Amino acid sequence: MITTLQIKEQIKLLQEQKEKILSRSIKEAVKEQYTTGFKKSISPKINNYKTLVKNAKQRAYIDAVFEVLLRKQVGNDNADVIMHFLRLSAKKNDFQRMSSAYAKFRDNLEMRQLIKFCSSVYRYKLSQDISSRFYGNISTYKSEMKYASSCEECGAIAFDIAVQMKRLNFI
Amino acid sequence: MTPDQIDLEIQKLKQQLEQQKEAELPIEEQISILQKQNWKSYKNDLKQELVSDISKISNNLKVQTSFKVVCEKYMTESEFERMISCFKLCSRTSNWRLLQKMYADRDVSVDNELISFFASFYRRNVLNKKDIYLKTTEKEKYQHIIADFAQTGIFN
Repeated sequence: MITTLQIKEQIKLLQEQKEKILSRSIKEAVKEQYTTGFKKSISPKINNYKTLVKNAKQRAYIDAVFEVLLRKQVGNDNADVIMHFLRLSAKKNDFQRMSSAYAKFRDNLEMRQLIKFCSSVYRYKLSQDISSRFYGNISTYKSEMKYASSCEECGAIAFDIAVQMKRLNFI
Repeated sequence: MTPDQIDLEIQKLKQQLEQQKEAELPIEEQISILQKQNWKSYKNDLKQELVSDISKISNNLKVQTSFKVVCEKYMTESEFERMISCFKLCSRTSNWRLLQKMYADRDVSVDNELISFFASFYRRNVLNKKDIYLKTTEKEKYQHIIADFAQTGIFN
């Protein structure tokens, strides 16, 4: 004869077994769906990453040219300021952020013209080398480059850098 | 001066020397050195971005799939899809009264109370709105579903 206690224990064991089976099935189902979903959602990210790597390689060269030439012309501190805002603007795809760089050189016309020149060259190079939907209107950049470096007084630094860039076949 | 301070000064001077050496190099070489440095830092940034993006995607996916698996235990796949699209509409418009659309949907044979329970669970645990609480009556009635959610290991 089986006692009521034994029956109760058996029921408990069976319930535990059932719960274990159910939990395993839920976990397994989650795992299966997760792996298939993960592959699907990660593939466009990885494709995008490949183009980002390509762009970063080109940007590394563009930034290096700017840094070296600016350091030579205007010193490390000023060059760092300009490069900071150029990088920030490129990262955020918004060159309105260069206005903070102009604000740093409120009364220095030479530097302001230099910033204008650098900003237009930077955008020109990015729109040429790196395909991005935010960059464009190459003729405007070319025109800006010309005007910013043509004045003998306020565009002197910009002119010097333009000469060196042309020597490096950069523009 | 302590020996540590002397070491620091020596390091500074060494850095200065290196910078001067670099400055004396022809422009092309300076550019190539800087290019390599820039590339290294950009690559690290990109790697970090990718890793954080992947972890975000995987966390999000874990939550979504666990919710889906448990819900599909109590309704068909098409019903779940209708329900989740309704939830998304509600969260996008931040108007959860649109759930009435779901209640009125004749193609969905799921109990309205159950849908309401799933909606509040979705808001609290998937959308992370911790100011949404499950009703005590719902908690009692749908204990088994809460247990299922707990079994996924994602929802507490």
